[in-house]
Amino acid sequence: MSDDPAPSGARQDEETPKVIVHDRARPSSVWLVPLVAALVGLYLASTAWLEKGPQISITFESAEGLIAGQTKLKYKRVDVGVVDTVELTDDLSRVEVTATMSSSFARYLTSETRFWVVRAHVSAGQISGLDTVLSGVYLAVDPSREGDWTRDFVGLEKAPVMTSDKPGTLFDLRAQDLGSLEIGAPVYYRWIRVGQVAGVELGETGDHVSVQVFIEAPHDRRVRSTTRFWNASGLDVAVTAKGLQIDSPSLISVLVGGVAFETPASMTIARDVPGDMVFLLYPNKQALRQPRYLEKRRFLLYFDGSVAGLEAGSNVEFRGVKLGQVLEVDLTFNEETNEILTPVVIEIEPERFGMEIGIGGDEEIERLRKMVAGGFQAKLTTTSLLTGEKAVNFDFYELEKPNKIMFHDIYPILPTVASGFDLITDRVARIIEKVDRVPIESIGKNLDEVLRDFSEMLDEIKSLAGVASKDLLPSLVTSLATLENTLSSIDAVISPESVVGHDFERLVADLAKAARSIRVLTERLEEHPEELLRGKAE
Amino acid sequence: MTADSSAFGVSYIQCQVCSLVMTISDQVRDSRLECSRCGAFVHRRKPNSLVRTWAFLLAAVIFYIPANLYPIMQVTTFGYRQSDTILSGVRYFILDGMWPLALIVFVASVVVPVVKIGLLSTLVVSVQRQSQWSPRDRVRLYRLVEVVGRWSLVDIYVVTILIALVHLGSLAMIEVEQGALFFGAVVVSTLLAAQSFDPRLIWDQIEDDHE
Repeated sequence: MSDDPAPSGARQDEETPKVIVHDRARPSSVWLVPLVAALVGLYLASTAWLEKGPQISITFESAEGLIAGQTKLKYKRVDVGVVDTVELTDDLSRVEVTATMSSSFARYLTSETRFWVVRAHVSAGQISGLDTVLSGVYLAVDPSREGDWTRDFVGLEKAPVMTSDKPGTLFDLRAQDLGSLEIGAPVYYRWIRVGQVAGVELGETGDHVSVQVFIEAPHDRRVRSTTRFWNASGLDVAVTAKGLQIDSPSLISVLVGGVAFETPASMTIARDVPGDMVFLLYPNKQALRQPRYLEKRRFLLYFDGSVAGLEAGSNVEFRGVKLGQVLEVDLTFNEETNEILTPVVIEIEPERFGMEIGIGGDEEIERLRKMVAGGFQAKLTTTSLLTGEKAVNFDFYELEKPNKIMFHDIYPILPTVASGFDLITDRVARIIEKVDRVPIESIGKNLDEVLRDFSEMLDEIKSLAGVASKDLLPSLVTSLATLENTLSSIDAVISPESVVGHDFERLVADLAKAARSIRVLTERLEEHPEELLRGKAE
Repeated sequence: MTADSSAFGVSYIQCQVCSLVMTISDQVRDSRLECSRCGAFVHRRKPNSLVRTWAFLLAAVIFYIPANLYPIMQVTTFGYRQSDTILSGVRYFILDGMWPLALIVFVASVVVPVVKIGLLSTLVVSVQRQSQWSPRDRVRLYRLVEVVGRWSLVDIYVVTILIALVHLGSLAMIEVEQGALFFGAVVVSTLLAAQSFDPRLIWDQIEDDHE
């Protein structure tokens, strides 16, 4: 304002004032605008770059519901990444999904980390992921810090039962058959749901089913070494003296099945469950009372006689105590000897007689060999005379020469002995045969004839009697009248006063004397009959 | 702001506040001028016109990048969320067969800002390089920039209206996202850039040449 540099050589009208000129303009502050813009841009870029985590690839069977650029990866429902691409693998067998994870999640991406697609799932037991019906599926992540660093994963087709945010323990069970169990079926402890069936597969040998159950903490501590699991599927109906008893955990388990367990008070001390322990899954609660055994040995028996009455499931006993059961009664033809044989496959549970589990192998064979040499033999016994049901009974018998186990068949062959009953039946058969030979028929025929003759005779007697009554009776009456007359005349003759009478008296006395002499004679003769021939012995 | 150049070496300048007409030497450049009566700042041309224009243009270009990379809105229908950037929205309309809508959005949101930035840059460069290009044409271009500029706010209007209208909870919901903010910044920056540019600079060059 003070200085006023007048422009040189300027002609100016006096009445027009001059404008006041200051120094050069200060640098414009307008550059702050792009500077701020650039800073904001840089900030966004840097955070985006920092947040951008590793890119991973996951393969799945199917990409159902997965959308590139939209499907999220979530852990506990929090976004931890997004799917970038969904493509087929080179051999078209699987779908490869690439995803960008958030950087904070990068350290949880190891070979133990699992991915699966969460879709709406409705089963009788539960409904899950219903929100995905509307919002679309998402990929769930089960992070893990253990395992090796990797960026390539294989996705699970089903949600795993056991995840890192749900602590608990897996237990192995072994069942005869699966029943109505399926993965996800509930596991109950005192009818409280404490877990679920995690896996189901056929055992290696195909003779059992392996079931894995996951029991959530803290209930997994309830499982002890003596715990018994049973299949709580469906209704447990028992008819007892008390009446009809129906036992079922819940309607759901009736529909989808379930597993229950309890730890009974028993002689054995309940220990912590060792890692490799396998529990038996009993088919129902009643079956708990009949302990079952995991170890089984199979043997073959050849019986000489009939095996009628023996069938799969028949008992195998030792002196009447159960050892195992009959698996199969077969019929084979021996081409060399042209014999038809009836091999019986039996199963013995060595745990029943306290043999330690896992002894197996040569030691067990050796022990068995000794037993057999000592007379260990199988014999068929009849358990029910009414039905003819039989059992295989083992015992030690005295031997003339030591027996051997034979190993040439699929199972070791144990020696057998003819059963007591076999002997009895033999004897009975022989008796029956003899009875059979008696000519009952001809005897009967003869008897018949005799009877016929007899009746004829009776007839004759009858007719004779008829004749007698008709013709004989009148003459008999007259005869009697004459007899009366005669008798009266006789009477007169023999009266004691008559001569005849007197004579008769003497006659009778003589007769009596004569009779006495005869008696003496006969007595003598009786004692010494030889005197008749030889004369009186002196 | 009106200024007249008349005889050799000396021009007249009028104060916009008190309407005093003053003389100013032609030699005076890049200085701050003050009215000798009321003390208000006076200037012959918009001060720092080119610099300001450049600055706003630069800001617009910078903002344009996140405006296109970030989604401008998020549509939630039945729990299904979809975030759209400007270009993915255009693509969505095309895939749905809504060509006219796609064209409008594309023109308003992509073509207009780019054309505006491009035209303004061309004009500024032409002034700085003292180009001989016809001033009439250039002024016409400038007018075009001014007319078209306001239409690029269409997108922002659409988003704001949708947010207000579609607010049905989890059934349907539209939310604004970062992209819209940056897009708004682009539009405002270009508007400011257009305002900062003084079209008289185009003619100054011609006058200088005539001298």
